[in-house]
Amino acid sequence: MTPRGSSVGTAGRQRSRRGVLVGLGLLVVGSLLVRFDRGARVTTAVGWAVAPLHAAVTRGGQSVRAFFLDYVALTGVREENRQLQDEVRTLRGEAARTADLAQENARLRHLLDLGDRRKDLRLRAARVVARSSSEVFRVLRLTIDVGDGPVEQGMAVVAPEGVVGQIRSLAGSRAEVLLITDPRSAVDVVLEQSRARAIAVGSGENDRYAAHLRYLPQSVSPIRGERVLTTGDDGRYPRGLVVGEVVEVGEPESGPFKKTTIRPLMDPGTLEEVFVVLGPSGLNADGSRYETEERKKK
Amino acid sequence: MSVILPIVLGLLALCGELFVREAFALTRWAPDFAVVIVLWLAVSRGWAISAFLAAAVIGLMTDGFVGSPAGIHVLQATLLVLLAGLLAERVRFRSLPGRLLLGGAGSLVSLFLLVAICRIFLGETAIGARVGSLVLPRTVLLMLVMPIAYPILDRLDAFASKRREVGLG
Repeated sequence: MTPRGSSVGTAGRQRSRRGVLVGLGLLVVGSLLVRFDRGARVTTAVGWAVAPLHAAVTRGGQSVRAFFLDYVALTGVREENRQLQDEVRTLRGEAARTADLAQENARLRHLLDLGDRRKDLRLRAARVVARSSSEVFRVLRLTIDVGDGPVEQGMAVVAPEGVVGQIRSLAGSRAEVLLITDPRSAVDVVLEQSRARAIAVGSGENDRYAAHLRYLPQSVSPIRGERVLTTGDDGRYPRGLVVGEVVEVGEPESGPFKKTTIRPLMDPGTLEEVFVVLGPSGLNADGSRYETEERKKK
Repeated sequence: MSVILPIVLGLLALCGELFVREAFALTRWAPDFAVVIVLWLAVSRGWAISAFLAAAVIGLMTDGFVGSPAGIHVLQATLLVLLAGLLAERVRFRSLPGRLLLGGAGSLVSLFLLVAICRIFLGETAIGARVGSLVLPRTVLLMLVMPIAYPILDRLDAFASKRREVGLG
């Protein structure tokens, strides 16, 4: 490097003068280039000379930029994807809840139909919270609002499709229901068409919900699909509730009774809401006031 | 005095500038690395022939990269060396304030020269407005870059000189 300032000697000055002369010469050359390169030949030549390097560097820069932009875009996409997945999860949850509510609504409407049809009964809604894990003992567990009147052991439990069973035990708001398909259950019933009476006793089978009709006379010929109704004479189940329908009729045997199997119309495996029958309401089934013969005469 | 090193550095500076522009999509806020090299050349070598020659070649390469008519940046670089070399005898540019001043003033002067040359030789009157928008970003960037680049360039030059002295260069 050439030292500057006062230390510059004669030789240095001479070099500087030569440099200035070269500089001035370059200025002249430059001026002439700019002024007289009309065909832009020099410009084209210079451009052509640097073109490969220019293109390579441009490509390199653009590649880096593209990579950077892609990375940023991917980062954005990843974040967006995460947000969308969260949103999808939330919406799926909401959709499931909505569907659940819709189903519950339909079930409750269905349940209310029973209330409308049987205004002669005081009913209390209850929710099924558990089912027996035993295939032999058919039990449901309910939660009941007990604050609105007495719920007692032995009360009938019904669903819109028919009789479910009876309350076997009660602890606070929790009740255990003995299903009509439990072998310990017995319901006084009547065949809808033949009006023949029998006792429906739970079969306790482990592969289906069913009950057998006991004490059905051999003279009676039940029809498959015939409905079996409660008589109301056992003092537990109100009259006229559907217990099930005939599914099997045994071959005539020696002896006084015919073996017949019925299937409940309600499916205990899918029940979610039921009614507990608290007792008679004092009204007729259609909601009209019940009047005794004496009151009618008056 | 080697002419090759400043020319190579000038070429790298032009490539670097182009790369930075393309990679970061910069327009105004792109540093003018070639001017940095020319200014360093002028201050470190003064009015040496090698400084003028290297500056002229860098200017010509700049014309090639920029696409300006050949000679525009040759004139600009040569005039920069003349002016900066003149100042280098009176101002100590090796200190930090000196380097900041060199970057700032160098940027302003280089832009002024560009406008003047274009007006005189090409008759472009609108270039003033275009260059005007570059004054602040270019000046700020050159003031930032010069204090960093100057010692690096000095060391590279010293290293190249040593290699020449021992016969490697």
